[in-house]
Amino acid sequence: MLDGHLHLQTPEGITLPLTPAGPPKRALAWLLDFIFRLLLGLFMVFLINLPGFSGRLETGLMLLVAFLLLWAYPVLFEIYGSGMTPGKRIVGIQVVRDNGLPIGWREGVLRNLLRAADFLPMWYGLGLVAMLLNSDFRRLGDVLAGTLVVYRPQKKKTKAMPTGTPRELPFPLKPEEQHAILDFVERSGQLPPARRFELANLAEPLTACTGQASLQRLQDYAAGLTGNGHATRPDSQP
Amino acid sequence: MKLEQLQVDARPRPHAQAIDLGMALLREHARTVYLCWWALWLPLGLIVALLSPHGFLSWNWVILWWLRPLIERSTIFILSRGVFGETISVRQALRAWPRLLRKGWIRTLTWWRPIVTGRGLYQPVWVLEGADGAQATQRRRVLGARGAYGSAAWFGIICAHFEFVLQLALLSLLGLFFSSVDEMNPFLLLQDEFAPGRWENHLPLVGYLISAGLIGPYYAASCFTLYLNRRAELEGWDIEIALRRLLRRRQSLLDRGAAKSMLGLLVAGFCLVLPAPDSQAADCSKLPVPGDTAASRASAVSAQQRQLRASIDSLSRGQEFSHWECVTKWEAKTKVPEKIDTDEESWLSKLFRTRAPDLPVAEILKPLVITLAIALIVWLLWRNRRLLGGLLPAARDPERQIASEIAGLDIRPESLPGDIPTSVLQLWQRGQRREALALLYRASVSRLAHADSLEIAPGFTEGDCLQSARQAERQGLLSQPAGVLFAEITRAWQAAAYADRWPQDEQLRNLCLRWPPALGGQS
Repeated sequence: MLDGHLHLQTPEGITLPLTPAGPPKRALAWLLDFIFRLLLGLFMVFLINLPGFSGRLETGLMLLVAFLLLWAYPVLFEIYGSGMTPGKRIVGIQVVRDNGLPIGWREGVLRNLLRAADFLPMWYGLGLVAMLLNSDFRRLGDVLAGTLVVYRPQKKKTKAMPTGTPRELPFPLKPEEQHAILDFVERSGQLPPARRFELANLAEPLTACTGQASLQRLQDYAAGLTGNGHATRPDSQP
Repeated sequence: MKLEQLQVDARPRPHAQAIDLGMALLREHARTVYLCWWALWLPLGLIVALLSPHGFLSWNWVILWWLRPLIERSTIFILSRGVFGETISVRQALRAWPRLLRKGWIRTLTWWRPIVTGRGLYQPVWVLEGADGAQATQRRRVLGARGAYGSAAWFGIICAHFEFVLQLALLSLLGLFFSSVDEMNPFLLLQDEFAPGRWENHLPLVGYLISAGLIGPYYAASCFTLYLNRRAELEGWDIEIALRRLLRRRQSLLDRGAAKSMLGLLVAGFCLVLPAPDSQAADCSKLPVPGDTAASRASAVSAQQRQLRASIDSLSRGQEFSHWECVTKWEAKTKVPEKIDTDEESWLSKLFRTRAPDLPVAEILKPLVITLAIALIVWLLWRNRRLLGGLLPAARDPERQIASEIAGLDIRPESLPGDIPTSVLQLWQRGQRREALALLYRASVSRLAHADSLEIAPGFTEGDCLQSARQAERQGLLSQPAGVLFAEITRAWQAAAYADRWPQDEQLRNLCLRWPPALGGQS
């Protein structure tokens, strides 16, 4: 089953799903960083020109700035910015070690030194091909340094679920099946009505009814599972 | 379309991740997809190269670019079968290709459509859904909603850049090889014009052929997975798959139950019939009807009062006054805050509230807190005096801590008998071999620690003691026979204590004999 995730298992038996980020997002992050570096460089040039240094000192300073922007910028940002240069931060990707841990100096320096190899023969041609060939979208620098570029885990938006009267499940369900019920109830508003009822009919052995009633029953189950249903419809008995 | 055979995870994911999934899918079917693509792509390139006049050579790749959407359809066809677990051979795919061109090809090649970078998202509508006209328009609108079209379009733009990068890389690589040894010039071949008839004139076409031949399937596959993701999101594919799986599991459980023995049936039936434990608690009919006030009354004083009460009761039992309703409802459990905390707080606040006016609490607490702080600082300094001592040029602190036990053996001098060798031999002859060796060993360590003032700190193991002794020997603090003897004793003790290998009588006697001059020292 292809799911685009990398399932790492820790010794404690916990599975960490990492999602390696593909070339488009990484190229975008690189472009943003390139622009930032360009702007920063221009600003530094402006600053260097301001005091009126001698020509050779000016050249020396500019070379220094160029060197730092080229080599120190990605390394320092990745190490001290938890694996994210500003471009990566905006795009929402992050460099981690291939066992899921944050990167350190060794990884940060290695993967950015190997940029020169990835850049060959021109404009990251080799890096792009390496990324497409590698199953985790790793360029040469990543392979050597043992790093991965992954999507930053995003905060899940809590969607307002249609509430129901909490109800117990008719028979025990596996966790993934319970998730499916919650998913269905959560997303039923986005599904077209016909499809919604089709799926609700499919759940008939679970709910023992069809159509709208089945959907309502699933909402009740979902409320029972999450525990945040409220008694808007008290089943009053005289 | 059997959703349960879907080879990719149908759970909706962000568009960027759906696009990335395309590469994983393409990798599974790379051979077929690329062979099929190049089987169409290469002849097309050759025809274009042969037929175009010289003045048109640097622009003839546009024809390839223009016809490319039609070739993408073969990729989509192969992947659409592959994603449901059906493998297609190259021959099958090529045979099917003309059929795939039926719907929407005119629009694909004409007005506006060729430069729509997100067309990859729409291709499946024509190729796989077979929609055209108004229906296709509607389908496209639905599929492109929620930013899907934007993602596809941006992805197309990025792919165009990737192609450009690959072309540049290719031309630079060739340039490096073709330039003279003295001046390496990667930009050698990046010119517009070459002399007529030279092969370099075909470089733009070749560059496009190769770069689009690599990136083209990638683009088509990624847009296809974006399309799949969008459909799975729109139609709840993952939900359907999970529900179907659940029902099948349920069915197989029920079937298995039926096929099993009578006992199993009985147990299962019992389980099904068994009422939920909470259902009795929520049964309204078993609750006492409130409002029965008769019990709480004192006995009537007079007949008149009794009569009055009866009439009151009969009235209050009437329909108007005795409406009683039992409501069952679920409520979220409220988390009970930790009781101890509140208790303590109330106890504290009570203390302060009652005593505050009388006692100058602040005046008492302030010196107390200051004293505590000073004590803390002093204690910290005292604890870390070694670190501080390292900073100051002071002598080593004379009061070195000497261990009182090593590896569970008491090594204080006062715990030892006066004549060690004799005691050891006595114990040995009595058959208490472990005690004998232990005594010998701890006496040795004790002597080293106290008489020879070796650095033996609490928590040292036998190995550490030995190490320390060797170091002392090297520094000349310990005589050589003493060091050798201690090493031998340690080895004998360790072999006996941990490996149950005991020394010969002769050997022990030898050790005891050598003990007084070497380690016995002054005693």
